[in-house]
Amino acid sequence: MPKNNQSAILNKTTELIDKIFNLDNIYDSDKVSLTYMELYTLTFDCFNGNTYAYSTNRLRVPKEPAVTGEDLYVHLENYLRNKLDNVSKDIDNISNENILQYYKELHYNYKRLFKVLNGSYSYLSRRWIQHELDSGRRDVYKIDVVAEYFTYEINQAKTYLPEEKSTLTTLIVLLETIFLPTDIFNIIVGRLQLLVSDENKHQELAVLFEPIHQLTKLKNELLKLIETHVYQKAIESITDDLINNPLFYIETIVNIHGKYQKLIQETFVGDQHFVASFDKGYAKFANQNPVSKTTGITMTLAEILARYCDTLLRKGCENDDWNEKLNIIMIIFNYLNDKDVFMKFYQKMLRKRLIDQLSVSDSYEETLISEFKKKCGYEYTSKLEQMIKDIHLSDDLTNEYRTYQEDIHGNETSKIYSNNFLEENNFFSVVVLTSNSWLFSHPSDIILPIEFKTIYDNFTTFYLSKHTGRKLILLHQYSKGELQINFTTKKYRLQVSTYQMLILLLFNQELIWTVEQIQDKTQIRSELLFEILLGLLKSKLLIADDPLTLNSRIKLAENFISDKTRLNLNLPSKPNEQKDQSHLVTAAVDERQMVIQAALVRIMKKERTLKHSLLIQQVIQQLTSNFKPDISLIKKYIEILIEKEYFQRDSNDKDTLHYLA
Amino acid sequence: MSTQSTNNNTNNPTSDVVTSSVPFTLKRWNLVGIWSWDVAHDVCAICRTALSESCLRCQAASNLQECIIVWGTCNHSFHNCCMSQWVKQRAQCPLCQTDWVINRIGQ
Repeated sequence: MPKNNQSAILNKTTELIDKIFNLDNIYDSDKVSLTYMELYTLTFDCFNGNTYAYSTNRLRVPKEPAVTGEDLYVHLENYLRNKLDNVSKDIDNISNENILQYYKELHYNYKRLFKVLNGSYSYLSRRWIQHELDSGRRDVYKIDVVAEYFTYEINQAKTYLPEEKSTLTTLIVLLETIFLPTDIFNIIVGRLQLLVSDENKHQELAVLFEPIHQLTKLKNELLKLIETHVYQKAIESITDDLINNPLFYIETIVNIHGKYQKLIQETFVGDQHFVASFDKGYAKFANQNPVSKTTGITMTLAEILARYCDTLLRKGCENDDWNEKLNIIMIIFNYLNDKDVFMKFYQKMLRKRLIDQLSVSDSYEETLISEFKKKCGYEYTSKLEQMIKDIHLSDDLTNEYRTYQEDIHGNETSKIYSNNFLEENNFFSVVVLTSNSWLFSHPSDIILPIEFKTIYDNFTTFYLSKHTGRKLILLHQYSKGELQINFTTKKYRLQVSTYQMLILLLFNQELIWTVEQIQDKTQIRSELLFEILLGLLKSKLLIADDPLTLNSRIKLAENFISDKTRLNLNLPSKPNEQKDQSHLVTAAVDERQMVIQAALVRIMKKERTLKHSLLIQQVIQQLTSNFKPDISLIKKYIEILIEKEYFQRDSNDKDTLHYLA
Repeated sequence: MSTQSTNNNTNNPTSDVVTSSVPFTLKRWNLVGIWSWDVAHDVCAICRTALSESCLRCQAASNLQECIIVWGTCNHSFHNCCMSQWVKQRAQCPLCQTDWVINRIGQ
């Protein structure tokens, strides 16, 4: 195509835009529409390569068009640039009094001009820009240009309107509407979506960050896109086999966190709004409890994280770098909503680690607790600290008791032991715990055989002489012992629970017992008794008729044999574990009502008089580190506390509450 | 069982024989127990907080010191912090109005 044809068309464009621009009244539609149509037809024709596209049905031979979309685009860009440069020069020559007036007019006219131009060039927008964007071209960004004008305008405004912030804000909003009409806006958003979802193209997003971060509306769209993207990608990366493996699950989601955090940092130079969007998307993902597709079991993040900590803190786990693990735990902990539920699980697992001496290191335990404390405050970890303290005190107590026994009984000690069946020097150890710091299930009442009772009574006398005003309760379900088997050639050692121990020791008296007799002797409630007996039968230590009933006769398996010399029979039963788990979640949620009420009373006691809405706000603020309180629940408890006469509504202002001392 | 083992004991003083005469020998016993205050009411009538926890004042101050319990001769019990404030105004038990005489202080 001849070059002169091209410049002719472009000149024509200039002429037409000028014409619109120079109209006396740019808002006079009649006058504008003529030129508008002419301009539209011109751009349309440029694409279709001939002037008769509308009127003929004949097959069009594709031709190289005289003027490409790009030419038109660049031309328009240069035109506008020139125009604005002139405006800027003009402004310098205008006195201060007239500047606003001038500015207003200018705005008025430009607003219209852009609208008209946008219409005229809509074919260009639709066809060429979309086409270029789709084919992945990077340097064609209408918004780039738009943003340039935009910045220009803002700078102009800033020069002349330094004090008037509100005017400036209005101006920015106005400019956005002018420069980014809906259709172009949607095209850009669509493009951004493609860029966001294709992680290889995040470099392109980085290029776009500069222009976009000034355009509030567009930026908000991009923020939403980022949030959804992070959430989606994270959800997609969770597979079934991860769910039942806290170690892999937590480390996988931490890796996801690291990856996107880095991406956000690099792409959006750490812009706080983008970091916040990422946080929001990630938090939503992390707190959405994963459901195993195969088993349908839902796990809570609270439980998985607690199990993760438990795995790392148990003996046998090799921690190459505890500080790194600590970091991982705290990253996820910070995103966790239900920190109160987590605490319940943590407490339960810590109980096991401490009582069964499974903890890998005291200092690991303590560093982690102090991290939780840093994050959530003294109250959050006070029970954990008490638990650790209890264990230390119990070690001392056991030692003191042994010394006391030797001092009091002297030579008699050996006699006492030999009268019983306990003979080793360190046969007896004790753990005495503070009742409200530990999560315990209620013990089943049992009858201790006289030998046990003597040992226990001796200890109780000693303990109560040390501490006044206390009482002791035995927790048989956590007490345990070690038995030696004498009826086999190999001397097996058995780790047993107190319940198992009571049952097995009965066989020292008689060689055959019925289930009913065992229950009569031990008073273990029947449901639990059957469970324990079935366990012992399974270990092949006892033999009974099948099925097991109250009348079944049980005897020792005299030919008992095992590969190992030390056997642990004291294993938790699976169904009980699971029941325990769901029980913990409900317990934590039930506790929230007390926590909310306590917070309400605490705040009101301090403030004496407070607006209803401010009270709710303060409660949320105080409790967020623990869980996300439900507003309707807070309102409900305020009502309850009014009924209980802790608070009173102001007689004149119903929204104001007073604290009643 | 005890009769049996005692009998064995008297008959055979060496422990080896004792242990082999019965199917099982107890080698170790780890006892787990909890302690709580030996109180008739669970809640302190003065601060309305559980006696198993620190008093309201100590809780608000995040006081790490142990908040102990006091018993009167009437056997009513309160947080020691709460009661020491109370007796400044009236030296009677808040629950039974008898003259307040300390019976014991928890340790």
